[in-house]
Amino acid sequence: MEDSIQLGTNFTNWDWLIVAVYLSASVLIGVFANRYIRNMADYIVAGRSLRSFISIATMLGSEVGLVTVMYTSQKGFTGGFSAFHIGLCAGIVPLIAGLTGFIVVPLREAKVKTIPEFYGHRFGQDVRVLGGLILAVAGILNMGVFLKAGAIFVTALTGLHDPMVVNIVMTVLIVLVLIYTVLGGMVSVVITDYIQFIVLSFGLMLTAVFAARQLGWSHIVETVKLVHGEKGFNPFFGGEQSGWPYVLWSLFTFGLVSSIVWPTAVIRACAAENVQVVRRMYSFSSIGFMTRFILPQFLGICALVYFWNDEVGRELFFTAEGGVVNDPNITLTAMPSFLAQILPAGAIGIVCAGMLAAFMSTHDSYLLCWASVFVEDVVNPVMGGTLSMKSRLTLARVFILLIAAFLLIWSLWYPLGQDMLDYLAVTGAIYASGAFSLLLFGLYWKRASRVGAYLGLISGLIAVVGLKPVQGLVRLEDLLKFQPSEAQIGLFSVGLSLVLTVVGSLLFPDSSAIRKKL
Amino acid sequence: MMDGWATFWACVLVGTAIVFSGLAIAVAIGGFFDIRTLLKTIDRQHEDGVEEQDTEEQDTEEQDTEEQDTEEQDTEE
Repeated sequence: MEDSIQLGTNFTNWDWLIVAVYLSASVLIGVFANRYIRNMADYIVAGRSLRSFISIATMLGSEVGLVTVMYTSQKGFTGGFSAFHIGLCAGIVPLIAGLTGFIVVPLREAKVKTIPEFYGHRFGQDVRVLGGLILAVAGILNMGVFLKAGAIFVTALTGLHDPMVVNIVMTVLIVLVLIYTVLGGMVSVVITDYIQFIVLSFGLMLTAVFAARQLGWSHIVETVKLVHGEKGFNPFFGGEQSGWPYVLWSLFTFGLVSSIVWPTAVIRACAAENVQVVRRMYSFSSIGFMTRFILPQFLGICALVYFWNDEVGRELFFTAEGGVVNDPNITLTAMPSFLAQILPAGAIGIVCAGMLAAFMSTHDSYLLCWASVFVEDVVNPVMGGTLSMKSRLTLARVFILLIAAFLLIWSLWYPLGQDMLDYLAVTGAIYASGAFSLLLFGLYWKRASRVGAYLGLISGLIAVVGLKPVQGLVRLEDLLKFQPSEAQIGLFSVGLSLVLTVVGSLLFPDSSAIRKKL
Repeated sequence: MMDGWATFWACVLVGTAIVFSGLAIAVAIGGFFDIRTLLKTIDRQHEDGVEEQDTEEQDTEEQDTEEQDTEEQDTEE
């Protein structure tokens, strides 16, 4: 973070004013939306009244977040054009889901509010509680580093160099999110997502066009050739972060999981007015899912080209041999540092407001989602479903506050001490490996049983081995006699979860009484 | 080989930008009207008391399921 300060910024006090006005307006919307909240359905799924356009806006408003922009631009910086394959994967899967209704339509027809609720209907309340716990813990841990990514962005873009000031800015942001999420629930989330979708999508496009015009297409291509060689263009070219396993892993995580298994995306399908809206939402959102990777990746590539030709930048971001420096904390700052240098005052304030708004948008959806899972899928079933609507609503708000407090401690004040990218991938896969298996077989295979579901969920936890410190702890390389890549471990955990769900279901089928009850 | 990939990725980038621009404009306009309808619908649901009934029904169903669970466990024991 300190390194980026040497690069300078065009950020002025006028830009701060733009950011302040924009964020204040978001909070006022939350206060306004509070008058529409009277029950849990209003709070979590906006009364199930979302139509096509607003469903698309809210889904993309949440999923195109600052954290996504930061990591995807970093991937463009370190991987070059070959990183675009992730965007293609991310677009193809939701398009197929929209055209065929795969998973999302039967889920909407089940009229559930969360994925664990589906587990409860299909496999029993105990599976719901276990699935809810795994989901919420994995999700909150996954979210735990978001504030850190936001802090890096603010530091690099604005030139703030006092860590205490950055922490205060991020704390203020999370408090603003809390105000309008706690007050307005899904209604305020939907309205703010809509505004943030507009600001961010047009902001991203204009920035990309501006950057491309500044640098020139042929100059961009030649520099990527120089720095990355063929690996910068061909995603199937070998290496730890490329090749066939990595492309398959991208298809699963960035395509399948992020659009039809990750609950913050699926909750939009649950909130849609009907299944036609779900299909339309996914078909059209596929464009957004693709764009949310490709445009930031392109900005990352532009940052690579810009700093390669900048004396200070080359020293910071590249090795003496001409390769990209192997430090994720430094490469993360490349895109915001690049924007801070090329965008004029005023424009940089709008981009910053859009990015911070996207940051808040992601947080509001995630806070609402994990708190709902805790209340609806863990606490309420454990209490025998006896909690009143008012208690559940209050409890959801309390959980939002608790999760936010955890995020502040974990992300800003607690020294993480490990690679952020690995952390995100592993925590996401802990939930997704088992969840995909349960959704797939639960929706499309009548013989899927409760034991199979347990095995699927628990075996998905093996994804945690993808974490480097855990690999060291279990001496994975000594055990296997080779060092598997993160993609290979991830694909193995998905495969294992699928196989064990089938084997468990065949060996221990549900009794006819249980099947009838479910 | 690299030039072929560069051309392909250029097409992907331009195609994405064009299609996304169209989507963003359509969503910006259509979304505004959807929000108006959403707020009206929620108001109407509150006036009719539809969702509150639904939620209460769901609560009752969940309680019934839990009670059945307990009964069956007792029987098995």
